[in-house]
Amino acid sequence: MATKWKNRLVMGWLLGCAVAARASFLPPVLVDAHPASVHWATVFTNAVLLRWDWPENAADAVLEIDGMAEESKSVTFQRGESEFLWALFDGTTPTTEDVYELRMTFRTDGSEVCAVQTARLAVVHGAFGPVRIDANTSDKAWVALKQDVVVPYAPGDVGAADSAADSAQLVISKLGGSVQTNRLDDAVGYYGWKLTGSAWGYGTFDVELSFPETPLDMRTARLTRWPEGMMIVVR
Amino acid sequence: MKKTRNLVMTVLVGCLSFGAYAVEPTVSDVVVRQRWPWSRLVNIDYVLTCDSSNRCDITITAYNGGAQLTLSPESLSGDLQQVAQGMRRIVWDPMKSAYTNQALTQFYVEITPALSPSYMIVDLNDGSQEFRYDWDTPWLDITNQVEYMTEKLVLKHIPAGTYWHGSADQRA
Repeated sequence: MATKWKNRLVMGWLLGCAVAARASFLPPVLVDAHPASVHWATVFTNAVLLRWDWPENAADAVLEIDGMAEESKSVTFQRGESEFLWALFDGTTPTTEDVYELRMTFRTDGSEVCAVQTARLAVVHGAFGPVRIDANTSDKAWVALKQDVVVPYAPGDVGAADSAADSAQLVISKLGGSVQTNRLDDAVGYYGWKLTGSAWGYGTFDVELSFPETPLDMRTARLTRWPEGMMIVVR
Repeated sequence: MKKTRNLVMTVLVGCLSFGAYAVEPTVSDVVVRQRWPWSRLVNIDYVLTCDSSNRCDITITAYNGGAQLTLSPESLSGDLQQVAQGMRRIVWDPMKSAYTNQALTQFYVEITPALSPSYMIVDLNDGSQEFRYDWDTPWLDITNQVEYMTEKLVLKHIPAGTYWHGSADQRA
């Protein structure tokens, strides 16, 4: 009798294990609908699988990827292809930070644009390993610009969760030079400021971050880009 | 009748076994980033995975290279206590720590989640303790059970912090 019950208990345990094992084989899926989450804008692996749905009347699609460090990439897909493995960098950790603008343009048989999807993804060091943290704002690193930089933006002092802002504006003004106003569709994310090989040149820049829906929430910084190399004064 | 009883037992034991496999809380997708050039605050973003009815208390350990750092509780804010599943953020203010005037060139963190009990039940006979971890539904039938009126003391978990005692000034 005892053996019979033992067998039943074992059977039950096995059934439970089977259910649990089945459940554990289904990996949990992260569903991120929070407008203030920067998670959507961050890359965590060296290769990203891009997937899309085809609009009803689209015959082909062109994916354009623009980053700061490399030349823009363009790939054409025929209807039926619905994913693309995008390799971002070699190795397991990136050497530089970058922000990529992705644009998927769907076209009809007659090459007319029928739909466009866009995304912005950032590669930041802090998603892959140790980072530099500098609490001393008198340190030169706080004001020095050397190369392309990734500028984070988010409303609020502690977090973006309670803010009413749903878009941002980043204004870059070069002292004695041009002014660029960047309107950003989201309130949280990373902006890629391309300096090397651009028309910005060297000098002092005032950068202002604001949020149209919450005008009191604003911050500024003054940054300087010095000429590279050695400077010799000739008299 | 006997077959039915066996089936019920089998399913019951199976369910108990399944319950033992509840989702262990884990943390992934950690991103550390200082808010350069806007402020010295450091964002620590992470994704917490746990049962939807659970809450977790988060322990954060910071390092600079191989050296462990001391982060004062005052320097940390955000999603640290009774945190539900999802994307979360802790903000570290280095100005409220011992690292005000230096650069930490190899800063990283370890984030450890632990299930946060919603209730602690102390058995007044032998002092033993039990915990409940479900936060979604209030424990409504507690006052209907004699054991909780006589032999067991039920304590609700309240997060650490500062609270006002009594009613607001206007109502006093």
